[in-house]
Parts: sequence; structure tokens; C-alpha cells
Amino acid sequence: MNPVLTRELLERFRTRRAPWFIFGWTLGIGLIGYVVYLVGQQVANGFFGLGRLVASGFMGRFLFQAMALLMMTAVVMVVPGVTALSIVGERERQTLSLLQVTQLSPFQLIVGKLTSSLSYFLLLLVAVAPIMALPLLFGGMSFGDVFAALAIMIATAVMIGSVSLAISARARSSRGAVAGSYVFAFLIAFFTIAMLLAELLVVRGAGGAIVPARGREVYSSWLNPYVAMVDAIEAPLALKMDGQLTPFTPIDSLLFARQGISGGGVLGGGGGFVELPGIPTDDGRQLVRVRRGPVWVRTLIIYVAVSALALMRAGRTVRAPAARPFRLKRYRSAPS
Amino acid sequence: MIATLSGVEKNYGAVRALDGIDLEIPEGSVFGLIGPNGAGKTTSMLVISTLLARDAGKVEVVGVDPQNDPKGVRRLLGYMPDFFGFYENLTAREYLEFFAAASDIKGPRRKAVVSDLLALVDLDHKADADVNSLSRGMKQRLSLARSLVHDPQLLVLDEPASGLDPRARVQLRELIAELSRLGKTVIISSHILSELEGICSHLAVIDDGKVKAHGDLDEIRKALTSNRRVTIRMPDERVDEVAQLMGAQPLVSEIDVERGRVRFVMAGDDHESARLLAQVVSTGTEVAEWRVEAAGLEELFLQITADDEDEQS
Repeated sequence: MNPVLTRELLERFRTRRAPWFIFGWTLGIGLIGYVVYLVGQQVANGFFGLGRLVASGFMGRFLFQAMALLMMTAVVMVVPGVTALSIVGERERQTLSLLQVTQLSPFQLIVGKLTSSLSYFLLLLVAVAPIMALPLLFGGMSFGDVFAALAIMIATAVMIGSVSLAISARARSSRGAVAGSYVFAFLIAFFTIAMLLAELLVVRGAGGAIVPARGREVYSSWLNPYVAMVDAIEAPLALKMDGQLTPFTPIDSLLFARQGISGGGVLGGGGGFVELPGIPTDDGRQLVRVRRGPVWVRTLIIYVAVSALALMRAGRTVRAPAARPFRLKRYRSAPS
Repeated sequence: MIATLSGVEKNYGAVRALDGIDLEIPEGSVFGLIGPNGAGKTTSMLVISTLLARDAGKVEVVGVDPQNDPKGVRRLLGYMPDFFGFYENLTAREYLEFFAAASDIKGPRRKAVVSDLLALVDLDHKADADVNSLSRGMKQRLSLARSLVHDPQLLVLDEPASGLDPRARVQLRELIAELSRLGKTVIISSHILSELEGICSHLAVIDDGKVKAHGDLDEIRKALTSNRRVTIRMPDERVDEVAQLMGAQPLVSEIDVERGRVRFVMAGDDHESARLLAQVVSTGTEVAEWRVEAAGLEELFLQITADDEDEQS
């Protein structure tokens, strides 16, 4: 086991505030889960007036989708906080040079730091696992959906964690590292939504339509973790349509519009899209053929590339003796 | 030689920290690096310890260039900086176990190594105490133990005694002497010269990024101390006659007469000292004590740096 990981876990979980933080976190997620349940109940029974059996499946999906979005937000909020201090903290405690003269390679050091930060986040996920598992009791979603959500969350956590580590390795102070890491996480999670809307509104299709009848690629969506997660859950092979209003509906609409499928709601509004032939599923939904490949695969490729680059950068920064910066040779013109 | 530096240069922006340093550190020696703050001691140590890349010159540590094979050098080198570098919520034992693991010491051997080191630095009774609860002297000894976890041949200790109380300093000196007896080569820096007095076998005086003097401590002393203070103790009635005799010697100056003692400055080596003693004895004086004081490190340092200032002016 990586010695940095072992030491970090020992150090992190021995603090007095660690159990209190986990208690507060579990309580907070539990309370939010309960509020989501109440809202879902209102939507299912009051607004739609669904029958009990259908309502149960709807409740399962509603709860799961809300909790998945909530946990993705937790990734964006928690991961920069736990990783941003890892290298700059070593520098401020004056322990970085002590690690540099051991047999640990920069890669081991960086991976130890990343895994210890992500282990902490994984522990937080495990702590709320029973709450997250509640939607499974209602039905309407599968273990596959849970797996897809977790996979994209972990990929996002690794990417944000890697970039935060690179920022931490370069930062001169803890404040700078934390600020830089949060700015990056917020850019990826929220600024990309603004980019996405801008792309939709500025780059218009033929006849001034936001999305042409055959759909169009929305490049900004490739960067956003929420879009990737919804895409991975809703369309592992094709797009699932159920026509119900759930927390995923706004992103679903985007994904429908991207494929040029009508009935998406928010973006489609039922007008101008070509209906593609669907394949009915057991739970009454339709699997439809898609024109464009899944967003989540593109997002995953981008995240893996960004993570690799960030980890290489962080490793290079903590290498001792420091790597010489790359400089182009200056050529002077010969004196005339 | 366990480490050699030749023509090493290092700049921090416009500041020249090392200006063509040449050092030869013999195996098994306790090598003192002395110099004022900002002289280039720590920079030299960082270059030797693989933590800093030089701008020019050649460095070899245990036969390897630290820039080409830092991992190879680190396997044989222990580094103790001029700060502690402790983690929170770890005991002394866990702290050493972590660094032993980071130094590729595995399984049961790690526990044995840590126990031995805690005993060596006399911290076995504090093995399970939080590192931050230890006294400054204990922390320093724990830091020394940390630099020894992988049993290095060469130890680089940067200002190890700074901030320690007299008792802790004595303990540290004893530890360094013990390490020297165990065959380790120790490079030790300080700007407090009395700290190095008595433990160094070799010495380099660094100032302004340059080596001002370098070599075996006794040889440096001999080369630099042309004037040595001599004290003779004898019966009180013989004092005036001996003072007169010494006054007639060409290499003797600054004669000072006290009750039962004559002091003077002698510009000569051990042969000259023996010749003078024979002359005093030949007058029938009962010499109770003949003491030739070697120059202390402080005196040497002042003389070396003063010579340099004279050259510059």
C-alpha cells in the first residue's frame, strides 16, 4: 500500500472533527433525501395523480435522480476542498523536502495524495449509501443506473482531484490552492452550463431554430459532469423516453434535442423535431435509435486526458531536483 | 572521497548563492560547514542532498551525480534540514514507520529498524507520544532518527543544534559522535561555531558563496594560526627572569606577567614551542605547566574572513 495513503488516512481520521463531519454530512444528506421524498410524493400524487404502482416507480426514479444530482454537486463541492491542500500543505508544514529525499517517486507521492483525498470522499459516499439505496426499494431504476451514476461521479472526482493537486503543487499558499481548485471545479460544473446555453442561443440552426430538426452537436455539453451523468444513466445504449417530469428532465431535453427527437419538453417544446421509431421496453418506456454517440463517452475521454495531464504536471512540480523549465533557444542574428 | 563538488554555481535570480564551490568530503569524516547566514551552506547541502539542481560545475555523491541518479544517491544519503517537518496526530513510532515505508523498508524489518532507532536517539520511552508533544531537543533527535531510517552512509545535517538548550546540544553532539564511531560520514553546518568545536574532523569555511578554507581541521589550524598563545605556570620568584628570557626571543611578543604565570604570543610551530620550553627549563625554573592554546573555530573563522576582507580592500 502506498505509504502516503496509509499516513494520510491515519492522520485524517484521527482528528476530532472527522467523526463530527461524517455525522453532519450523513444527517444533512438524510434530511435532504427526506425533503426530496416529500416533494416527489407531491409531484407523483398531487400533480400527476399517478396510480400507486406507477407512482412507486416514479418515486424511485425521482428520488434516485435527485440524489444523483445532489451527490454530483457534493463531488464538485467536497473534492477540491480535500485535495487542494495536499501538496501545498506539505510545503507549508515543511515536509515536502523530507518526502522528496525518500525513495518515493513523484508519481507515488501524487497518486498517494490523490487516492487518500478520494478515499475520504468515498468514505463519505459509503456513509450515505443506505440513503442512496432507498430509491431501489421503490423500483423504477436499476443497479445499472446506480453503477453508471457512480462511475461518472468517480471520473469527475478523479478529474477535479487531479487538477486540484496540480494547482496545489504550484500554489504558494493554502488560500491560493483552495481558491484555484474551487474556481476550476465551478467552471467545470456551472460555467459549462452557461457555455452550453450560450452555444445553443448564439449558434443557431437553419431558419433560426435553436436546434434543427435533425438535432445538432452541443460541444459544451461534453465538459459538463451533470450532462455526462444523466447521459450515462439515461442512455447507456440508446435514449430512454418516459415523458415524466423528473429532476433529469432539463438535461434530458437537451439530450433529446441533440439527437433531434421531439417530445423533449424544455428545448423541443414538441415542435419541429423528427420522431424516431422507438422500441418499447418492459417498463413502458421507449428505447430510441440515436444519431449521435453518447456524451458521457466524450466526457470520459476528456476527463481522463485532463486527469493524466494534471497528474503529470503535478508530478513534474514536486520532482527534485526541480526539472529545468522548457525554453526555446534564442538565436541572435549574426552581426553585420 | 564520499562527496566532491567542483566549481559548483547556483543562482537564485540575480543572487549568486554558490560561486564556484570546491569541496572534498572524505569518507568517515565529520565535515563542518561554517559560515555566516546567507553564505551558501544550506544551498550546498541542498545540492548534495539531490533537492536542488546546480547551474554549473560537477557534483559526485557516493560516486554518482545527484542530478543524473537522485534515487541512487538518496538510498545512501540521510538529510536533516534546519526545520522539523512533523505531521499532526502521529506518534513518534508512526512518524518513523512512515518514513521507513517511504524508504522501501518493508514488513517486520521496518518495526525492528524503528525500535532500534528510537533506542539510539533515546526516545524509546516516548515512542507512543504525539510528535507535537515532544520537547525541542526530542524533536531534533527524532528528526535525526528519521534521517537514519534507511541506514545511510552519508548524513547531511543542516544547523542541527539551532534553538536547542545546552543539555540538548550536548546530547546531539554525543549522538553525532556515536554516528561517526559507527562509520557514518557526517556533513554538518552551523553558524554557531562552538557547536562544531570538538566534533568536526574536517572543515570548510564558506562565505559569499565561496570556500575560504577547506580541509583537515588540524591542518587548517596549523596553516592559519601562526600566532599561538602560550601560558607558563611556575614559582612566583622565577616570573621576572622567565619574562626577560622570553622578551629576548625573536618570535615572542605580547608578554604579560601575572602572579606565578607568564603569558605571551608565539609566532612559531611545535618545534619552536619545544625549543622555548627547553630554554626555560635550562634556567633551573620548575615549570608546573606549559600550555599552548590552539585557535578555536571562532578565531579561525574570524581570521579567514578577515584575511579575505583584507584582500578585497
